[in-house]
This record gives sequence, C-alpha cells and structure tokens, in this order.
Amino acid sequence: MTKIKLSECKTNKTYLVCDLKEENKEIILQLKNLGFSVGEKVELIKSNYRKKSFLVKVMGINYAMDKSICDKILVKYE
Amino acid sequence: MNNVILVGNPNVGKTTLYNTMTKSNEKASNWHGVTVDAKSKKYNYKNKEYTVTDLPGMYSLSGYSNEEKIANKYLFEHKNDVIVNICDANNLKRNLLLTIELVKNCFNVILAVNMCKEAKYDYASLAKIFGIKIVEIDARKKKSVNVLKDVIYENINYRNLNKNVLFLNNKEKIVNLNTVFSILDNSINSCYKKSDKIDKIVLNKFLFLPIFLIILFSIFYITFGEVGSFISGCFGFVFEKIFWCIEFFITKLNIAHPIKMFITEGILGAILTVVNFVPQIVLLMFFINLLEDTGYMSRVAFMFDGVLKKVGLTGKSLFSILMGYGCTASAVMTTRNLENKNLRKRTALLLPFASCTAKLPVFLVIASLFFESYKYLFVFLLYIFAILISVIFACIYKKFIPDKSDVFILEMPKYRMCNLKKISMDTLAVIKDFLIKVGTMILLFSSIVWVLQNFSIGFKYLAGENFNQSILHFFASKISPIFGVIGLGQVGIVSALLLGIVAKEMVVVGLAMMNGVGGSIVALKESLLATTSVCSFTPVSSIVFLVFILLYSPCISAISAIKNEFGRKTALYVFVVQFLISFVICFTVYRLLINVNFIYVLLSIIVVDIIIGFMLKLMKKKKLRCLGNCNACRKI
Repeated sequence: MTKIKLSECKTNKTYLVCDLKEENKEIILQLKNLGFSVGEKVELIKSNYRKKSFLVKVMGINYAMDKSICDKILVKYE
Repeated sequence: MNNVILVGNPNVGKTTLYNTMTKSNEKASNWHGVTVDAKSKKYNYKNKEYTVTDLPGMYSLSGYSNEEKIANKYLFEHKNDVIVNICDANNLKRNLLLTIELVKNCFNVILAVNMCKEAKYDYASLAKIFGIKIVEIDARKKKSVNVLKDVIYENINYRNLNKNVLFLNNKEKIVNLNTVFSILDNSINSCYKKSDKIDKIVLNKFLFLPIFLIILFSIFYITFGEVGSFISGCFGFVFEKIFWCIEFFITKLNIAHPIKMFITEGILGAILTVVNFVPQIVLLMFFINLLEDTGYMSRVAFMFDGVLKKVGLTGKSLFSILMGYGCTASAVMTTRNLENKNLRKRTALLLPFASCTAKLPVFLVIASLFFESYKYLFVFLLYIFAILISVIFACIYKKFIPDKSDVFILEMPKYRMCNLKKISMDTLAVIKDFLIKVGTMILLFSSIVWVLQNFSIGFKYLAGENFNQSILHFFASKISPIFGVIGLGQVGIVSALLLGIVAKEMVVVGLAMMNGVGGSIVALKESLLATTSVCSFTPVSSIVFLVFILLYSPCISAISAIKNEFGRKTALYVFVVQFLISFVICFTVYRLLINVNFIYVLLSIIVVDIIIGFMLKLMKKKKLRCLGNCNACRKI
C-alpha cells in the first residue's frame, strides 16, 4: 500500500487507513476510539474552505478531520 | 440511596435522558461536548430514591480529552449501583466499543439504545452476547424513559436480593466480537443517507456562505426588526399597565414619600426597564438553539475550520464563541472541550468580544435613538464590528500565545428535525436565568443606585431634585473627566457604564434611573434625547457608547468563570485589557467621527499595541512558556 498526499486525493473516492504505529500516540488513541483501525475504508466526502479539513466517512459515520491527519493515515485503496 | 450513572459517547442523548429522568432543564444540543462536568440530581420511582449523574461524553475508558478524563475519574472514584450506557442506534457499532470496556471492567451495565427509529438491530442476540439488559428508548419521551426506570428498579432489586451471589468477571462473556459486528452489519441503518443529501447542498463551497449569511441576517431581522419590535411592544404595554396598577395602589397607601419613591422608581421601574427586552432575548436564543439542535452548527465549525486556523483557532473553538453570544460565563466553561491548553486560553480571551444577550437591551435602546428605521441593520453591523476586532486580537494572541495547533477531529452529527419542546425549554431556561438575575443582583444594585442617587453626602433625602448634590454624582464626577476624552463624560453615563461591570443589564436600568424615568422605554428614549437630562446622547456619543458597551470588560460572573478556569492573572488581564482596548478603540471612533485626524488613529494603534504587548509579556514571563505538551498540561 502506498501513502498518498491529499493534493492527489479526490473527493467521493475511497481510501484505506494505514498503519498508525509511528504517529502521535494521543492522536492514534483518539482515532482508535472513534473506530479508525488499520485497513478500515475511508470515504473522502468534501473539503472545507482553504482545504484545511476534510469530511470523511468511516464505518458509516461522518467526521470532520484535519488535513494533516488525513495525510498521515490515508493510503490508496487498490 | 441508589446511584445511577449515565455514560456514553458524546452526542448520544445523555443529557436529554437526564433531563427527562429528573425533570431538569440542563443544556443539551446536537453537537459533542456540551456537557463538560458531572451533574447529579435525585428522583423518586416506586418509593425508592435514586441519584442520577450525567457524565461528559467519552469514547472509551482510556480517553485523553479533558471531558473524557473527568468522566473516567468520576466513574472509578464514585459509588455506582447501575451504569446506564446510552448508545445512539445510528452509530451502534462504534458506541458498543465503550460498552465492551464497561462490561470488561465488571460494571453493572444496562444498555439504553436511543434514537431507534431509523436503525433496527437484533437486540435479543446482542443482550445474550453481552449478558446485560438492553432497552430501546426515546430519551425525550417520559413514557419510554419510565421503561428504563423499571429496568433500573428491577436490576437494583435483583442485586440487593442476591447480595451473597458473587458477580463474576464478565470478561469471558465476550467471546467473539465479530459476532457482535456481524449482527450490526446485517441491520438497517439509513439515517446518514438523508444527512449526506442535505450536506451536498449545505456544504457546497459556493452555497455555504450565502446560506449562512442569509440565516444570520434573517435571525437579526426577525429579532430586532418589525417582528421583534411588535412582540416587544405588546409585552411592554401589558407589563406597563400591570406596573401602573401596582404604582397606583402604592401611591394610595399612607407611607413615607421616600419609601413610595424607592418602591416605584428603584424597584418597579428597574424591573420593568429590563423585563421589556425579554421577547427579543427569547427570539434570539430560540433561533440559536434551533440552529444548534438541527446539527447545522457542526457544519459551520467544519467549513470555517480552515479560516479559523489562520487566526490560531480551530472549528471546535467556534462552539465556545457561539455560546458566548448567549452568556460569556457559560461559554468560558465550554472551552474545556479543547484539548490544547494554549488554544483554550486563546479562545477564552476572545469570548468577551462575542456580544452576550445582556448587552441587547442597551443596543436596542441606544440604536433606536437615532437609527430607529434601520435598527436591526445597525445592531448587525455592531456584531460584525465585534467579529472583526476579535479576528485582529486572535491574530495577536496567536503570535503571543503560540503552540502546536490543536488536532481537529469532529464527529459530524446527522441532521435532526428540531424538537420544538426542547428548544422552547432551553430558551425558557435562559429566560429563567435572566429573570433570576433581575430578581436578585439587578434588584439589589438598582436599590443601591437609587439610594446613592437620592441621598446627599450628609444622607439627606433629595426628593429627585439636585442630583448634583447626590452621593452618586460626587463619586462619578471624579471619574467622568477620564470618560470625557471619549465623549462620554456625563456623570449619568459614567455611572451607567460602571454599573455594567456588575451586570450588563444594569446599564439600561442605570440610564433610566439617572434620568428619573420609570420602566417606560418610550419615556427613557425621550429622556435620553433631552439635552437637560443627566444622561443624554448625541448621534456621535451614542455610537461611541455602543462600541464601548460592545467591547469593555465582561461582567463579574464572566470574570469569575475565567478566574476559575485559568487563574487570577488571566481574569485580571481580561478585565484590564478589555477596558483599555474599548477605551482606545472608542477614542479612535470618537475622534474619527468628530474630526477625521489620522494622527489620533495612528496614536491609538500604537497605544493598543503597547498595552497588549506589555500585558502579554507580563503573563508570558510567568506561565505561558508551555507549548501545551508539558506534564501539567497532560494532567488536565
């Protein structure tokens, strides 16, 4: 699986959550609590003004999320 | 006494259930993190007394946000007979992760599944797997909540009757999580589909801003325009007649003149002056609650997150700022939602710029003196002006209180049909608080003001004449030269502004009392236009006065909330700096209005810079070196 940059991302497409091991522990804990786990499908729905945050759908629930986090956790779904 | 604790993910309806169970009216809304502290209340059911505790939302027992830590601590440190785990049927898969942890930790759990209309599951199978009772509820309906109360009653009775039975660790009961998830995957869940369709329009980049501005402007137009003025006029007319009858009755009584005047002017007049504005406060709070309840506010937070990041805030800060338009003191409390300490402080420092409802009466009276026909537009512009100033200060605070920016992850609630009963109850709660304030603090201070205004230094009754000899005039005249610099040097205006530090509602009461008019708003407006009055306004002084009210130090309750959350120094900083900021901005506005001289403007900008830089440097030396990742911050 290859990590992607959000500049390459397109909305209304599905991506995958990658291995979160090496990132900030607190963020990982928060993401895990919200139901994000490795291999989980993430649908990128919309971006906001200045493309600083994205609206994503995980396990059928919508979340608004920082671009920086999306950058770290999303990989291409092949 | 039986202790019942309500736990669950954020925004699943814990506070709504708590309100229905205990007949309370705690603030509940369609976004996460409205509840930031544990709240308890008692209720009786089938001759037994229960204490219910509503905890802030938590995703797991190892959560790291401030409210999750508060909930965890409470859960493990307080006695509990039953834990009611509330789950949102629409997000059951994720909600059950907390249930599993609770069961593993041997808590006596009852699972209450809320909002079951659109998602149907095989609850019998789930109950078997977890080994706990599952109840489908509608947290807003008493009948449905009584079913839950029955289950709690039976559960506690069963436990009491079987005290000698050892309740085994439930860990082994959850043998296969996949079984749980397969039950959930096979069920129907369609609620987000509708929300997604609405979001396609609402979150469209080209449509979002026009929709948002139309909504805001409509709220202002209805509240302060013809509709609001008409309702307010009818309300005021009825109350004026009631108070006139009471006044007539009192004048017929054989009591001393000062006492008569004290009751009619000092008490009845003061109450009527403030009560006149209840309809407009009701309308504004009703619309704010309506937007919160539908789930629209979370979308606003998401769309503005990028813009807010530019000024050092996040989308989550917007919730606290919006709460600030209701009451600054409670908005300060909601900053607990923000994980990062410096972000919390930056957000709290900006809250006094969000104009609270208590300032509304002042805006309406003063704006209508010279700008009656487009009053609502004038008030709207005042709010926009406050937002612009707060943006400037957000940039300054970003520079002086830096940190690594807070991570923005926000669950987007689905759109809900607004529950008019709930919204009305929330609005009534605001009015109740307002009226309690009128009945206590405002009554006390208006009585004190009346005494200070009607008695001389030698404590001789002045009978409403010779205000120049009064105690109030003596003290206010010492300070008035300072306010004279910004064109507000009249002793009466200075007194009203000082009263506003106690509570902003007191400003209008103060103005009415200084001019010796009772509760009639028409009479108050006429007196404020008469040049012979103790307080009178010109178009220029009215604008400067409104800007000063908009920006100056928040009331005692807000300062005390800041002190509790951030310490004495920050509270003192807010009080002093807000006062100085408003003074300097008013000086600029005043000078610009009477004589456009750019030297004054330049001087004002330099003075503001020096004040803020100096104050922040003072604070920074002592405490603000932390970047939000020290041990002290993590402990919060």
